[in-house]
Amino acid sequence: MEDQERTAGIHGDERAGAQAVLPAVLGLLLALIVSFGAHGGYEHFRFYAHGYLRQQETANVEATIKLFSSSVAGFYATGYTVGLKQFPADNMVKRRIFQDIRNWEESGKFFVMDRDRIAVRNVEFLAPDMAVALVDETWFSVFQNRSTRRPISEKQANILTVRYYLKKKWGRWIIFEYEVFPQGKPLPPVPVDMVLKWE
Amino acid sequence: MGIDFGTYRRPSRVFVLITTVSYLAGYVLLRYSGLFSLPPENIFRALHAWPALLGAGMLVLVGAAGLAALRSRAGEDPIRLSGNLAAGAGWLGLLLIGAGIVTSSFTRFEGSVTLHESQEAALAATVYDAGTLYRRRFSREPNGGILMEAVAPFPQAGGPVVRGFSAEARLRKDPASPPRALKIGSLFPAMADGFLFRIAEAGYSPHLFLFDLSGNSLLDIYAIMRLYPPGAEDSFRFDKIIPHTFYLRYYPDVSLLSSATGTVGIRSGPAYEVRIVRNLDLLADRYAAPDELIRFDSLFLSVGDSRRWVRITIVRDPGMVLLLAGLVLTILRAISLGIRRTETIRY
Repeated sequence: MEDQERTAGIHGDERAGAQAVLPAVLGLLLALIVSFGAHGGYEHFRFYAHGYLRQQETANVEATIKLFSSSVAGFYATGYTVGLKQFPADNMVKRRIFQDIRNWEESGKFFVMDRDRIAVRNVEFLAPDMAVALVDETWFSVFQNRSTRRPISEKQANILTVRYYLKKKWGRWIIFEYEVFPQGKPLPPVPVDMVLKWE
Repeated sequence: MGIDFGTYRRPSRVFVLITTVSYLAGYVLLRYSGLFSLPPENIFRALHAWPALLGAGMLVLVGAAGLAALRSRAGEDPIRLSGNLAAGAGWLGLLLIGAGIVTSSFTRFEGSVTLHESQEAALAATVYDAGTLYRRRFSREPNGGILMEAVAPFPQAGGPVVRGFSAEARLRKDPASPPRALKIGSLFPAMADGFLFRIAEAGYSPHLFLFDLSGNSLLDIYAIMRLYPPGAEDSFRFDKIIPHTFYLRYYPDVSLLSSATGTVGIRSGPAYEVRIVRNLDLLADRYAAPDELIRFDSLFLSVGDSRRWVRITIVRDPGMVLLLAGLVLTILRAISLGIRRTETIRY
């Protein structure tokens, strides 16, 4: 008798457990559907689920970085702002570059930067519209006399690793920050929490 | 043919409850998984989104229905009174959890202020760190000012490595009222005027000087930087003045820099690792002792002593009280159910 009651109790528990599975699965399914639909969930999921979308954006990021560095070299070499509209950089980045160019201009010099090599090592997407790219770059720089364009300093090599932070705005990638390290130096981790708050 | 409505069974309260709880938990977990959106900053940001509020509202309804059913059964069987009380606590707990989430979504205030030692700030919207201010429709904000008196590392291990921080601050509601002392620890938050003060982060704030070639001081500031733990790197700029970026690492004692001690030329005391970059041109990358002059272009940089800073998160959320009370009641109910089940099987 005792055994029978105990068995009945255990079977009752099993039945209750089985009955709890259905609503639990239903709840999870609802959560999945809602997450898919809310806060651009579908777009977010699609970006990470489809490798070809990321590859496409990686190529766009690489092209942006190449355009950025060739534009920087052009601005420094000529002192002109031709191509500024296409220059894929945030206003603060632009300001720093042109402030530097103007400073050299005032002292009667050109600071000419020649990009020798650029190799994109890695592109990581913190969000579908936010990327961090690690790029090895070699630059040669020389000061020139502003009126004669004759070199007035030794040519200097800068072998760098640059970490670019890019954001997609109005359908195009722009560089809104970058960090410069000497090549071979261990890099600090990406401050993801801060980067995601950058406007 | 057709649907036989006579065989339709209304889902039981337990069925609705399990569906709601798994929906709510599933939604929060999916938010944290990063599959459909960036992970939220904290659980409340996820709970304040409309899908979670929907679940919270459902919890309120289920809890209220459970309580109402118990009330209608009251007096039927006096022997079951204790069981009814326990069940009532469970339903009330669920109701409070739901109500807590909804209340929090209307009243939560959250913001972080970064202050270094001896710095004072008025608690206005502009003082909060960028992107940290979070206000809901009926939030009450702190007013007055806060003075950071001292930031101390703990425990005093005798070595240069710090395990945590405690901050002593003074909170003044308005200029006429006496200041209230606050002691905030890395582990233990402080409470004042319904607001919770918690240390979110701490670090070193180096004293930076910029000189021209004739020795005139152009700048003299304490920069709040993320230089903790020792060896962590952060950068700063004198925006609008010069286009340079200065990267810094701080070692409270040169002994923490064992491999490079020889090259540093500093025998004891603190050391800085300084890198100066002008756009894409690397100008300097070296170690420096405090107050040492580092030349770059036609300027000098010097890093002096360092103060400590803390980032304090200020939170006020009346919903949290309801939520916690609800959680306690629900856990107690779950324990009582567990005990009852064990007793049944033992019998």
